[in-house]
Amino acid sequence: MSTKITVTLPDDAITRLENMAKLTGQDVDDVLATTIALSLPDLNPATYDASKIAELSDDEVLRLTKIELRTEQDRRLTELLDRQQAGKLLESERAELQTLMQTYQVGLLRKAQALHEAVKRGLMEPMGA
Amino acid sequence: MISNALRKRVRQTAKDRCGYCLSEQKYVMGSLEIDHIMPQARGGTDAESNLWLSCRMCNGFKGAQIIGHDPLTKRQIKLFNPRTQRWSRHFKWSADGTQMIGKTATGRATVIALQLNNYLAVMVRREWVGAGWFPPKNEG
Repeated sequence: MSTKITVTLPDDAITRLENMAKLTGQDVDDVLATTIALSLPDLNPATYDASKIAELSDDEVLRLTKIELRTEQDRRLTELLDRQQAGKLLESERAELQTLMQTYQVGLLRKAQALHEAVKRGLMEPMGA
Repeated sequence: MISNALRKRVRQTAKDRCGYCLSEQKYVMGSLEIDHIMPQARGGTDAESNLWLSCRMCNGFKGAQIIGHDPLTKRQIKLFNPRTQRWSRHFKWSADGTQMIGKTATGRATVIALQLNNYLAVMVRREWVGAGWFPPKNEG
C-alpha cells in the first residue's frame, strides 16, 4: 500500500536525485522512495512519547533534559554492543540490539530537544557558555 | 577484563567524549562506551593503547569494522584511530555544525563506515547547536 505526497526540494537535492535516477535507470520517485526507506529508521511510535517539546511545561522540559535509559536497558545495551564488537553477537540478539539502539537514539533526540528548549526558555544557561 | 582504574584513565585521556563524533558524556544518555579501537573480534586486546571512548551510535555502527571505503580515491583504508590520530586533520564540521565532513581518505571512509551523518545524529546535533554547545570549540 502506498500514499502519494508532494514535496518541495532544494535544487541540489533534485540534481542528486536526477543523477542517481539516470545512473540506476530508475524513476526519480523510486529513487526517492528507496532513499527514504534505506536511510530512515523504522521507529515504533508506541515506544516513545512524541509530544511537541514546545507544548510541555517548564517542569516537563527540565525533566526531559535528564532522561536516561532504564538501568536494565542501559546495562543490556552495553553488553550487546560489547558482544557485537567482540564478534560474539548471536543472530537472536541482533533484533534486541536494534530495538535498544532505537530506544537510545529516540531518547537522545528527545533529551537534545529538551536541552535546546530549556535554553530557549531561559531555564538553563546556553551549554558551553 | 578492563579494571575500573583503567576505565577512569581512558575516560580522562579521551576527555569524556566520543572520539569519533565528539559527543560529550554530559549530553548523551548513559555512559559513553569503552571502545576497542581494534575490535576484539579482530584480535584487539584490552590494553590501554587499544581503548578509547565512543558514544553508543558510533560504537554500534562501527561494530567490528577496521577498514572503510573512500568514495573519492576508491581506496580501502583503515578507519580513524581516535587515540593516535588528530580529529581536526581528518574531519571538519559543515557550515551549520550538524554534519561531519571527511577531509582525508581516512575521514571520508570513517564518515561512511560509522554512519556519522545518520539522520538522527544530525537532528540531535541540530538541537545541540541551538542549545549553544555544538560544534565543540576544542576539536583536538
